[in-house]
Amino acid sequence: MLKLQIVIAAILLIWLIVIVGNIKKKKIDLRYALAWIALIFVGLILDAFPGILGALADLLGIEIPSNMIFMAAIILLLVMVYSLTATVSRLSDRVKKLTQELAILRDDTFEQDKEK
Amino acid sequence: MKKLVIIPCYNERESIVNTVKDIKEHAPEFDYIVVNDCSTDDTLEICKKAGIHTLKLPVNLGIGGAVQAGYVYGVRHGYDVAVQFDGDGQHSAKYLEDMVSALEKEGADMVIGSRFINKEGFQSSGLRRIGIKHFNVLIKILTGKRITDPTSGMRMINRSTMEFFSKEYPKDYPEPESVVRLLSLKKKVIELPVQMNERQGGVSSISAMKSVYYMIKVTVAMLIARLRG
Repeated sequence: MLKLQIVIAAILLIWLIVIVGNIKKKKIDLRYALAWIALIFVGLILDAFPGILGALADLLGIEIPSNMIFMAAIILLLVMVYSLTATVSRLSDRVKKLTQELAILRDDTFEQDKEK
Repeated sequence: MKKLVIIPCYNERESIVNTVKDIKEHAPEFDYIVVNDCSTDDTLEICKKAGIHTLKLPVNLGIGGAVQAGYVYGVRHGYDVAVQFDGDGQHSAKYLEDMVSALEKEGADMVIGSRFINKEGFQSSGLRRIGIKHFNVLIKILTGKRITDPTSGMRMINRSTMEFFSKEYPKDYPEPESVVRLLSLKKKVIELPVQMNERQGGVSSISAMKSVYYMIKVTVAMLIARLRG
């Protein structure tokens, strides 16, 4: 049990280091990384105090604690993917607007040059 | 009155020069702008060589974004009327002046050139007509209005609709959805009989594979457009 806890903690910590490194290198936005960092801390807490998990499962009427983890993980992933869909939609709107602006700007400058 | 023809254009090398010629001959009062949506063939070079005024989108936006670029251009340059016009030779410029008259006389916000009022000219293929029929019924249910040709790409709008579309316009398959949107906002949409031709070249943006997706997407989009009210 303790062995597994240490392995999981190590994985989570390495993950945390990778994320922080990526933020420092501007590979990912802190805004989007925050959710992952929060997730890692929740993971670390549950890893350190496995009793919380059992108590929570009991409370929700789930017989096997691992099933609760699966359920929580799936819900969390769905939320994250959905929020990415929203982000992509917003980005594509912005790209569209910039593209249109750029095309019109190029045309206006070109037409002005022609008049000179 | 300043009037603008917007010609969205994606790989129309065979027909774009003739389309512009048709406008210059039969609708000389109109300015025109070709919106080249990143054609992958030599459409852009052909336009340059022929001295055709072209907006060059640096990335491909699809039909909605391309037409909207034309509307933004029209708003910025003070146009009173804008008309969308296909670059593939399906539309005839001789109807444009009549559309302006109808727009002014009826005080309409949009005039659609309809193939199906007099049922003359190219009538589209069988399966497509079934799809169009479906949209007719849906528009009737959603808005109570009868629009015979909701997928027509020949549509003239006034200044206020241009300003509205320059802010929001569907990205893909925009025609039926934007008609419902306008009707839901109590804007006046009328139709004028026109004859259309079979396309001179190029391929339709809606292939057989995509048509099921197209029907579903546009149907849902129309329902949501109505819900937005």
